[in-house]
Amino acid sequence: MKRTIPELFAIAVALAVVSLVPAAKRQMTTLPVVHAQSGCSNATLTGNYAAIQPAGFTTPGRSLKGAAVPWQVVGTFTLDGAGNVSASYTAAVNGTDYTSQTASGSYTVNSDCTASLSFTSGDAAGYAADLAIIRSGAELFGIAAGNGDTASFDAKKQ
Amino acid sequence: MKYKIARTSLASLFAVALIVSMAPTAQAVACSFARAAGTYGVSDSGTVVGIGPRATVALLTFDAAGGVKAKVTASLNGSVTESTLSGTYTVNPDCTGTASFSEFDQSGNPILTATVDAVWDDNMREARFIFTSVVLADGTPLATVISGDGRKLVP
Repeated sequence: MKRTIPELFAIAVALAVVSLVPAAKRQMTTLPVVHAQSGCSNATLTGNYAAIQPAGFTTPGRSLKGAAVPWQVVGTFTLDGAGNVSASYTAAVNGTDYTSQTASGSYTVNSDCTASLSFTSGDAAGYAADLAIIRSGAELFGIAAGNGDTASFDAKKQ
Repeated sequence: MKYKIARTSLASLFAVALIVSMAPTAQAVACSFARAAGTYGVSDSGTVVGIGPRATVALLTFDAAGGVKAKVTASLNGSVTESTLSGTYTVNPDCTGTASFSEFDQSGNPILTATVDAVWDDNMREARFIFTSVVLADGTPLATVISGDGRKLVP
């Protein structure tokens, strides 16, 4: 069972190469690996969220023509995990404040963690938004998708 | 031997049950003055209709008794001023609330009074707000579209 010097040398070289491979791999990977979030469903959005829409603009009557006026919103969403949403909010549109506003509607979450939302009744009936879900549903970004609306919002779980 | 194993198993089960019962529950805790209290870094931005854009940063403190005060630097249509504010706020169990305050210039002269609607999120580490009224010291109301958020300096 005695090993010769060349055999021992070959084993030592092989061990050295094997030990260097991970370090070399680390050096070659200079960009962080980012994996797209997947596996979202309506159940990903469950609970109460506080939302803010800063620096938004809308045109009167949600027309594609006409001068846009400033439009901001702060409020809460409740998403039930089954595609139903309700909201309570305060809005300011061109200097007029609208307090104690409510709305309800539905939302649909795609498996790639994008989503869409629309209000079908209440003070925001007709409003629609596209969403991107982050942090497993702890936060979402949205952009108003209706005619004449130029506004994005951020909502975080309470 | 069987008796010893059974006794050990029971003791283990009891220990696990005790640990589980001591673990914090995941239930949401209602919002309150006590949980809102703290110092927040605040910014807001928007428009005073007819005057121009406005942006603000502030260091704001909510106390546990419903009082609010802040040091404010604001830019209104390019004119930068420093001021202080003081007033009161409310918090509802559902984490919505309101604030009402007066703002003063550096000599202590009143500038305006204002009200905001607010909501807290992130376990009350953060608050979002929107102005619902602004009235100058001479009684002139301003039409505003201003919202902002504040985050606790120490979570």
